[in-house]
Amino acid sequence: MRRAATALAAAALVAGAACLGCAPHGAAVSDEDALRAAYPLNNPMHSENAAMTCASCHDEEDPTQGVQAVSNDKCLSCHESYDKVAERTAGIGEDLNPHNSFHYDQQLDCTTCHKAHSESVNLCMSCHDADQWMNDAP
Amino acid sequence: MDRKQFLKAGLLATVTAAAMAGTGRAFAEDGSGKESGNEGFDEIADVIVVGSGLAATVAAVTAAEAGAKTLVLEKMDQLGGTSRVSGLNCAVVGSDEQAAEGILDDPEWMYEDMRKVAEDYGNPDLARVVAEGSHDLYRFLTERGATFKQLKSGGGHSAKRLLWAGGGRYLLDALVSHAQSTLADTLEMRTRCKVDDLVFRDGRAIGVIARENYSFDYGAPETDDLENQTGSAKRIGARRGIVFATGGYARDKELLRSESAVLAQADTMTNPGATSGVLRMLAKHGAQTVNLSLFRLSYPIPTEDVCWGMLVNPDGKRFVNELGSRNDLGIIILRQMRDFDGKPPLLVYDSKGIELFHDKQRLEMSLSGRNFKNGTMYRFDTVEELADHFGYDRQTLVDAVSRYNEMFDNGVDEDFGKDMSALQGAAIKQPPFYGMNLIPNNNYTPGGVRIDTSARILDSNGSPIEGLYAAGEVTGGVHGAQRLTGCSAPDCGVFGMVAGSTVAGATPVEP
Repeated sequence: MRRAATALAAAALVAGAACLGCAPHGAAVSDEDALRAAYPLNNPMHSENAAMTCASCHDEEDPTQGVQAVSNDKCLSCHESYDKVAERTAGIGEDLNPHNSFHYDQQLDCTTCHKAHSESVNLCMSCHDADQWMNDAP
Repeated sequence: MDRKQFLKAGLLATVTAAAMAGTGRAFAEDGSGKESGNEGFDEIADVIVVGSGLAATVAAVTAAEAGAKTLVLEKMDQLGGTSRVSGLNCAVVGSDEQAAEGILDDPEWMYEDMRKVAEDYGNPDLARVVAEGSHDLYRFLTERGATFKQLKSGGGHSAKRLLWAGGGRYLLDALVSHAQSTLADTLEMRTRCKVDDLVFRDGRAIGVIARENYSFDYGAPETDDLENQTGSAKRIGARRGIVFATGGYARDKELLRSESAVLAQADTMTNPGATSGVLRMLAKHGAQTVNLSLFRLSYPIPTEDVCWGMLVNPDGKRFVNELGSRNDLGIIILRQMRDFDGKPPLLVYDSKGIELFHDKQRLEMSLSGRNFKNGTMYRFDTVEELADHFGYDRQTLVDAVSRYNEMFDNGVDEDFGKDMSALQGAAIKQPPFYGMNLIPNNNYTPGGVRIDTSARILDSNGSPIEGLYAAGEVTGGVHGAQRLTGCSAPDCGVFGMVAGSTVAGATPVEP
């Protein structure tokens, strides 16, 4: 976590781009290259295997003017469906499966926990010893 | 707060503030309400309901059914607030479930039960509204699809009257699905929309300044109100009024610390969004806040089952009579934690004590790691192994257990006066042994904005602030010093109904 925070802080100092949710908020940068440098993807599955660009997730005409949190539909355009994602984590256990949980079923937004440009968070751990039953969110 | 998270939040806040300098923001930080006459609303509804827990949902459905075009604004990513993750036992007088079991009950008895533990704090008139309205709430919920799985007894209730739907989500799901099928044209519920301020005209609140596409910072809930700059500003007008049903502030350690320093040591299992932003904003506009120093502590296991064990501080010394009431016991534990740098005490049971648990379901949750955070219980064959697991010196813990057992055998707790004869034979003798840390949870804040019996928000003169209503945990003075178990849900629901019908019936103004 500390490493991610430091990297992000440095990035924000350099560019300070406007963004929502997955990154700290700051003043807009001038071009997309600077934006990309300021907001690297922290999951190699995204950056290397899938070679994703800003536009893979953000459809704002000019992302340097700020972007919104990415919608579930956008995530699921690659990850197939909420059910499919839930199936992959079904081994965690009934009710405990974060993608089909006792409290929220499938009503959580992907970006509540999964942050593409910063440390992800585990919502379950706000109230539970969830490390007893699951790993860190990717 | 996790120290690493705190460092991260602090670092980012500093950096962000530097990057932000001089850029200015669209939303009004000072929000003096002086923009009167220059409203320029982007959107207008009849009624705005802020929040989406039980009180908000009931208020919104009530207003929409009365014909008001109603807009629910929730700052979090998902609907439901703390209600959604609560058990939401609901005290009701006169339910069909009571009738089926032949249970006699009376709203007056419920009112008396509530006031008995209030220690004369709070406004008795508000408690009376809840007790007298619980049956109407029951009809409201069941006629809209809610079903209850169980009728239970509850500590402090003179009749068996707690209804349980299986968890708070089941009440909310029923209401939301009812709204989707019957109120699609009049009720809209919107997430990620944070209300920052109010717009007034001639002393009446006629709208809100909100941010859409808000991304709550789940990594740093405690600083979200002050640091989070996400979202884009929007002005939304309200012809009839605005209902605040935004919940409590148990995640706001700064406010808790300022009211009672030891409270900040408590854990909380509330919605991460249970901060005090709205409370402070309403106070800025003249709303009186009442009873903010009151608190309600609870534990992952029932308070009544703490007594079967022995509680020791990080030095391995007992410090309290384990047979205490929730708040008394909790405050003593919190003081110990303060004196030990936040380190929690250890609760030790033997297998006899475990058998005596009256709530086996919550025990099982603890043993399987599914209970609240820091509520996991571990089993060991020997006291020595238990000591190792929790980082205690073996001999120190063994000595503490021996002394406890000796006093148990003699029938006199020389140190803290615990009634050993009330323990039904449970000492710390029979393996296996069980251990868990015991940190009080601060999951409900009894204080909040002052309201009258019509759910109108009052200023410090006792005059209603026109256009503003509140219901549920955001309000103060309904319960007093101690809230009875199962009485938050009827408070939220009954005052949700009151607020919804009062606001829908208010004389409209064109924002």
